[in-house]
Amino acid sequence: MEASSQTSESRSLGTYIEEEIALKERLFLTGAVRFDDNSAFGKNFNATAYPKASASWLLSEEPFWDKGFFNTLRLRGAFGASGQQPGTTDALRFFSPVTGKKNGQGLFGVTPGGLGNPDLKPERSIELELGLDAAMANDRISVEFTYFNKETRDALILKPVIPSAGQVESQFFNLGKIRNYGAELAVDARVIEARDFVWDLAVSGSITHNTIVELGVPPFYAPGSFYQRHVQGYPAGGFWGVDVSYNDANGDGIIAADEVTVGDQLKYKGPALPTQEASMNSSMGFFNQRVRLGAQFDYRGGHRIDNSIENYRCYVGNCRGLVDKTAPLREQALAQAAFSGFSSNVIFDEPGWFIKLRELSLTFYAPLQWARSMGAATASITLAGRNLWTVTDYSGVDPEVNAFGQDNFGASDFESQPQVTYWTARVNLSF
Amino acid sequence: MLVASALTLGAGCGLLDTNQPDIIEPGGLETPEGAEALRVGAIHDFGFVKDGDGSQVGTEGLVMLTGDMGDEFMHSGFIPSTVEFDQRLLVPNNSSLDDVFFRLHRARTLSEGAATALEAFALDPDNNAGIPEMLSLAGLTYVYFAEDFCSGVTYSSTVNDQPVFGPQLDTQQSLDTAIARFDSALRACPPSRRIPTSNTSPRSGKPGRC
Repeated sequence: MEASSQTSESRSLGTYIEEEIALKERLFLTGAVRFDDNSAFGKNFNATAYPKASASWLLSEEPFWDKGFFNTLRLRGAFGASGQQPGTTDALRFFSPVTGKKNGQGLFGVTPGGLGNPDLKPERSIELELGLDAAMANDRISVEFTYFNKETRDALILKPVIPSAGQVESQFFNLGKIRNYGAELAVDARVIEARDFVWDLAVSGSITHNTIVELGVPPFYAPGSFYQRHVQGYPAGGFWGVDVSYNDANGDGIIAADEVTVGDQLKYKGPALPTQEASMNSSMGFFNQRVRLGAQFDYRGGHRIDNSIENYRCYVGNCRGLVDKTAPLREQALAQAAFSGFSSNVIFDEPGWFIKLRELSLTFYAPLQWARSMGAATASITLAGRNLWTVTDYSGVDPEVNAFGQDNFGASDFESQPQVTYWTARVNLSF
Repeated sequence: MLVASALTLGAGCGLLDTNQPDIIEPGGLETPEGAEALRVGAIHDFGFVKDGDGSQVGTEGLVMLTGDMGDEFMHSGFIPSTVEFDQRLLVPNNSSLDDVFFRLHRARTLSEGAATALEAFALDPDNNAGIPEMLSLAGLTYVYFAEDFCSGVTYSSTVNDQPVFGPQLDTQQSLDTAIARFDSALRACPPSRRIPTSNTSPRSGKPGRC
């Protein structure tokens, strides 16, 4: 077993000024500015300022407002700047320690660890948010809606370094401009409220679009990825690959290697991150809330997923597309392309959308006398299952996997463990 | 503006200076010990590019990859980029090839840099055997580039901490550079380690063995 530890130190120096104004408890205005300096900034860059302003108008409190259906209605808007500082040592040129050996003795050595960038500065985002909050039908329904438009300048992007310089593989730069815009909607409702039965429903969803507006340099692969590239005019880290076409010339229903044409131009296949997300929580209370049945469904869509493990299986000659004559022709063609050695550019991309029954739970709240007999104030028992059911077009094990963990620019299904289905039973006693 | 000025002043007073114990900044290597650490690092990286990381599934070294290309091995591994060698179906961005190319250049720049550092900071550079050792390693990297890569290898460098594209050398030029490094190594050989031979005697003008 090997153990290791890392230590890094970061220092921030900042100050913050804010002014809040409330007019007749209906109109709320806020203005603020934050000045920041950080040890992680490049030596050629000094402090930066992040201003913000927001306004919120409680329209339903105005004298002219007729509170018929709406109990409350608030309009809000905010504009502000924020920043993401580089990693602690991203701006520094440094060497990392290595251990050499001589006659069995360890010797201290160094090797390039980072090339640094003296001009590195924080990634700066400017965001506009417009939205409303409303409550209606005697507060049984609440709605939140937000439109956002966020533009990130000087995005911190890891760019490959020319290998013949013999230093490090990549280096952080402030590159170009990235835009994210979209909308979020959340609705909470008590759908049914009867003496022995209540049903609460919460639905939320969002649409997000991401585009590299300016890149500042020629397109390049996200470090560590075969298929995800940063290209101006397309989503950051989108999937790119060559086209694979086929022609079953002899009509035997089997695609042979010589019936496959592999393109030589990389083409955009789709975003790697979901552009649509939604969630639905349903909670039903029975028998005067003695029993509650809860369920949560999640949806993600609008993106592609890279089935690298199937690509690899075909590459080594062990996938359905190569050995099963009944496999769809396109699957056979992709398999032949991968088997022929073009796997570095042939992407097995598939629709990444899915709906999951994320959680199903049943809770029984014991009568008070039962709890007291155990010396507790309240008692309940919950049986819950997670990741119970998935609907998807993805042919792999689970569309919700990433071989590279949480790395946005390393989205791939390669020998990845799917989300585990599991059940838990939990007894809650409060004293 | 006043606040920003105050922040700049604060930064100037060293409030934002940090201590990073896990890394070594270049200035920290401008000592005899630092130059020696560069030498050890160069040997470490040279060994890594030649032999890989020694694991079954990790980074392949130059020996394994060229052996694969030379049909000394058949399907020596299951990594797709390695299998491409075996099938002679290399794509330009083959990651194993990229990796070993990069690591060979790193061994080159490190060994050349270590030789320069030892000349500048070693306590007795005229009698430091590490200098010819580093120049010899550098020469070997040029031999490997000439032997294992197509003619026209780019040799880039780092200027003011930034990588700068260098000249492309054909195979013969790479070998000539290797010879130049070996000659420099022989010239840098400490007098106490020189071993004159019959055809490299002082009269022949060649520096002899080291």
